[in-house]
Amino acid sequence: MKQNSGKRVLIVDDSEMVRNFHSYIIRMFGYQTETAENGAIALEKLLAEEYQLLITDINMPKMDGYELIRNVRENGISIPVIVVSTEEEYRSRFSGVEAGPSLHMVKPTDPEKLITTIKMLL
Amino acid sequence: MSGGFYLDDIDLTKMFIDEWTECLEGLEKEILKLEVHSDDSELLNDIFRRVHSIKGGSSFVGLSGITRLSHEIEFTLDAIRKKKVSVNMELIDSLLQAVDFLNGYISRIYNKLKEYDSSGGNGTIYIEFGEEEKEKSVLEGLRQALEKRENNDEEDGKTGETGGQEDAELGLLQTEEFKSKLAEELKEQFLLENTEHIDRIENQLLIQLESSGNDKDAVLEMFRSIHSIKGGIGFYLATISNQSPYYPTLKGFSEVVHTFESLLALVRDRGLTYGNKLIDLSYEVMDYLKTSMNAVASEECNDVPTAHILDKIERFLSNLQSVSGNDTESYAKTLRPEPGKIADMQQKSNIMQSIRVSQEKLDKMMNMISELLIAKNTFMHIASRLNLDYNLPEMSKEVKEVGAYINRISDDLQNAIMSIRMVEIKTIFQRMPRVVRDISQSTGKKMELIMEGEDTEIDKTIIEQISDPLVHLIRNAADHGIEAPEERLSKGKNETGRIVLRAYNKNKHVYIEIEDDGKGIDAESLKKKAIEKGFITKAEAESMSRGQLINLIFLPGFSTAKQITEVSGRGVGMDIVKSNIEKINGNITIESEVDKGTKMIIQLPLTLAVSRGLTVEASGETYIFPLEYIVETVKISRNNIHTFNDKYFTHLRGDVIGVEWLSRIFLTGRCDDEKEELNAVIISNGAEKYAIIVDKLKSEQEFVVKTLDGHLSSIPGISGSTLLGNGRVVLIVNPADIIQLAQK
Repeated sequence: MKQNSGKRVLIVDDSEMVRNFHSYIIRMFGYQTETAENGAIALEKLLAEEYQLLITDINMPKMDGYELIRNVRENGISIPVIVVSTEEEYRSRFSGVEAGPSLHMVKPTDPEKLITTIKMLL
Repeated sequence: MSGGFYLDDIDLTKMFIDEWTECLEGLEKEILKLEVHSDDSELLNDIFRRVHSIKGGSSFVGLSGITRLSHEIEFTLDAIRKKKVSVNMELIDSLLQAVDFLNGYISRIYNKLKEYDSSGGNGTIYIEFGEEEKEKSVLEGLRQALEKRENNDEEDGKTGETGGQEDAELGLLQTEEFKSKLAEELKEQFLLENTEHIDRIENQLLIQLESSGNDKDAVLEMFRSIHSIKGGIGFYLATISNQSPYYPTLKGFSEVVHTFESLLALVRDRGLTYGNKLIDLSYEVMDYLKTSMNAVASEECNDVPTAHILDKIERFLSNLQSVSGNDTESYAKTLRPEPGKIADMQQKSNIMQSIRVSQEKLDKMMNMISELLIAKNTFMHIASRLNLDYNLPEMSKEVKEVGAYINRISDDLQNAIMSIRMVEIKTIFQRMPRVVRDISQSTGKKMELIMEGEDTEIDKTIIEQISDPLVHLIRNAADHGIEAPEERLSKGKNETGRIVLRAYNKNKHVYIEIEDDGKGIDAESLKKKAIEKGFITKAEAESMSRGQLINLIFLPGFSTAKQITEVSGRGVGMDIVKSNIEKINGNITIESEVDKGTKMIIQLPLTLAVSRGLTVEASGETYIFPLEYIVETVKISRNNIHTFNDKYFTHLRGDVIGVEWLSRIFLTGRCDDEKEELNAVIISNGAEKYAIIVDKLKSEQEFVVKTLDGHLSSIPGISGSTLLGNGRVVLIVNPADIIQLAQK
């Protein structure tokens, strides 16, 4: 787990409970986590500091997950992105091949799958 | 959303596609081999490598559709490689389907690129696909096949041979211990977020929808809130073991929310009106959700019955569905706002960025600030001593300057902390529409509630204290004040009763008014009743003013309702309302006119932590009078004090008011008879004024109330103590008590 300690994951969701859910699990595996409650705050953090992975919800006030990813990419930040949402939400916002997230995971996230996925990406 | 994307780096993409085509060739065959040779680690590694390289490349050029697909394939392969699942035909089939789809996908991009090349384009290309449905089913197929294998293996007991430390760590995530820790971690937040959503639905959205069932924005918000609740319960439920005592309750909760969401989706998509029946149902659902939340919060394990409410929602849903849905499509289209509009709405519903701080921390901070306030007063005290006692005017000036500086900082600090503790009164006002609505439903009266000044701010602690009294007063107004429709018509009033709930700031106080246009309070019948019940004698009654008579309703055990109704309780309320308000240094007064209506006016301090008061001296003792009770201070000449029945009176600006000596009330000395002019503090409890004579009027200053403990706590006339700048302890006078004591 030690080898993960330098890796920073940014978790974006408007529900504090969901943020804590992800944080708690991801920290167990030695990664550092930070959270943001909407896309706008997340973007600020991403522009200011370096992260190795972004995990984001779609439906959020201020700036949603779709806009966040678009902005992230426009700013030349090329970190992997995991979108966590229902299948429906994902489909309504992202089409098949649009430049966007690296991956999509279905809500509620399965902890084991989440960690396996993160390990594959990082 | 169009299924398309832009591709800038065409040459690079073409290079990658060549590589991928190579990778994909043979992948199909290898996967087929896997069915029989699932233990062949070299074969697995090779397949894995191929898929992984596609994933890496596609992510690099931004073809995220490919990344997504290849990741799902990789994920499944990883599970097989780590022997987490055993291979079967279904799993292989779904893998093959995914690879096929990926192949087709890539070749379509390739064809597009070729087409583009021959047309001599300018460097960017826009590609559109129409295969989303297919992609969805491929992905679903893959996920489901994997899940099924996982479950099967679990039953057969095939898993368990975990290889390597890494897997052991992952295994932790499945243990009950991990889950219950996570659940504990999330519980508070889970409850809080649900309560917020439910509050908002109940106190804002449903009210909006009740006044206009076609408010599409409100319907959308409604759906969104329920959707959020659903998301939350999904996460929370995933952490709860199905052996847990809460599991059935939460499971039921989840089902109800899920079904209700489907119902709302239908309403939203068909553009249906949010009618009264649906509103009633929504309230019932909210009640159910609240009950469930309470059961979880209070750690009671008895299940909350779900069948009844679930059945109701389902019946409603199927009724709606059976209504012809021909126009569903076109309705749906007109209903969905433009993306831009969604963003607007989200902007609107977004509250300013904030962090949550526990009340305890704030209280602690406030306490420390209070200490600081007392400490800072010391500077002024020392400064004056330096000047007068030690004759060091220069030094005194310096100390004074430092004192003033610290004074300024602590003032700013105090204001800042104070503003943190301030919350909009909206939080309690929001509950009232439901209260009025419930009464209107159960009594058949028609009434409307108008709320004004909801953004008035007041200390959080006060908000908490005022909530119950306010509910009681609103109930009273709705239940006892407003008449039945026929009665109102016969009086020439509008059929619909009007209750106004109003909050505003005035003179460092917050005022809340509850005004109804109902039947008002009949002072004569109050008088009769008070005499009957033995609260007052007939003679007393005759000498009482109308205002005094109306105030009788605050006496313990006094009820004016001819019949005790279920809604507004048994008439034990008003005295408790009054005492609750007084506990937080507030004050309540009534204005009422028969058949015109009643107005209750509550005066509240902005904050409880720090008050201002006037220090006075009587028989050598110093006391503080809280400023909010002081009307004015005057000098009264002895000739102007008259005696009647052993009581003292004086004339003040045309009024006759009672006079009493503070030293006589506290039995600390006799009134001094020598002075020609007497210092008096005129205090008021809202209804009456009284002049309290003291020896000396000193200064106005801030003080922090320290309550007295034990047997000292119930001394009549004293509400607490405080420290002065010189470290002296002084008693705080309770003016409301003082007036009562003086009248005896």
